[in-house]
Amino acid sequence: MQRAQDYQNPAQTIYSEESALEVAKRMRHEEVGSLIVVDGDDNPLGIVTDRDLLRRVIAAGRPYETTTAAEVMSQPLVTVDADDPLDKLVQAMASHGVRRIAVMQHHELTGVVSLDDVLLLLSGEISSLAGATRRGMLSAKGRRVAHHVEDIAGELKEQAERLGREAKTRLGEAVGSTLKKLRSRRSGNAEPPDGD
Amino acid sequence: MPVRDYCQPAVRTVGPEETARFMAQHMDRADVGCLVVVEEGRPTGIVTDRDLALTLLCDGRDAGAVTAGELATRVPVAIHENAPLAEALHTLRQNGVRRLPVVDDAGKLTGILTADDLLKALALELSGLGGALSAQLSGHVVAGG
Repeated sequence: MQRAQDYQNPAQTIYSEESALEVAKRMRHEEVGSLIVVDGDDNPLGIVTDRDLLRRVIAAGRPYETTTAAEVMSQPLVTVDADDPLDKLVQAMASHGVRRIAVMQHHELTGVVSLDDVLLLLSGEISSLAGATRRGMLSAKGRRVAHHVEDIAGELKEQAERLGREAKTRLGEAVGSTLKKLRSRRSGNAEPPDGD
Repeated sequence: MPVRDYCQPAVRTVGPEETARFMAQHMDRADVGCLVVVEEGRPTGIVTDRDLALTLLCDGRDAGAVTAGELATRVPVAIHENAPLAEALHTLRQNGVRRLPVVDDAGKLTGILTADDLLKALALELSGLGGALSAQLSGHVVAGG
């Protein structure tokens, strides 16, 4: 079973007293849509997204250089433990309506997992399932269904690579439930194929 | 299935003269991530929340002075509402964009198609196929039926 730590990316952080201007510059430089806001001891406090900058700085008419990251960040920061299984991570995204989760280990921030990462994983899972059908583990009808699934997985992968910052909770829920279904089918009816 | 079955008809639009602050407030209230710039009913550009926020902040521009016309990414291509979904996917890929304005015969804006809309549609279809597969594996469907 894959765990949160297997899919995390390094967390880009910014100190809470840094300005909104600095937040924007870091986002542009790092080519990311969010930064984890930390205090002086590197404890995570919240998350600031480019959307937060739009709403809480531009729309609100706040000054760019004196508004701080702490003033525009979103809280609470949704976290999972590095050892948590992926299903739990997806459920946390769906229930909190977020698409980025901070990964913690021993109370320290170790990375971030986004819905994009999960979508890429899901397409891999489906490919594995399709691999099982090629090995004759499913009946004729199962194979036909799985071939459709494989085609869709290809599209999902293409789109996941492009997916921006607007994926909604509904998608997280759909992905979570599909992932769970596939896992239960695979564990109950077919051994996961190796090497696919 | 044609594009119009997947796109969002309630696309939010602005004129090229609107200010960045107006657009930011509009996106915030409407809970959308982009606005289509329209001139005489035809889409001419797109402004995203990210482009708007980062351009203004990083370049130190005044949100009350910068206009949609200045900020918009020109629309390279739109898709006809009757075009098949496969053509939309191809157009998205070929142009390296995640959003396509959808137009009618006269080139007038009728909606917007986003990669997220497609993902949602595919996720739902996948969910349905997953259900079919589950039923088949559980023996609820006669083999070969």
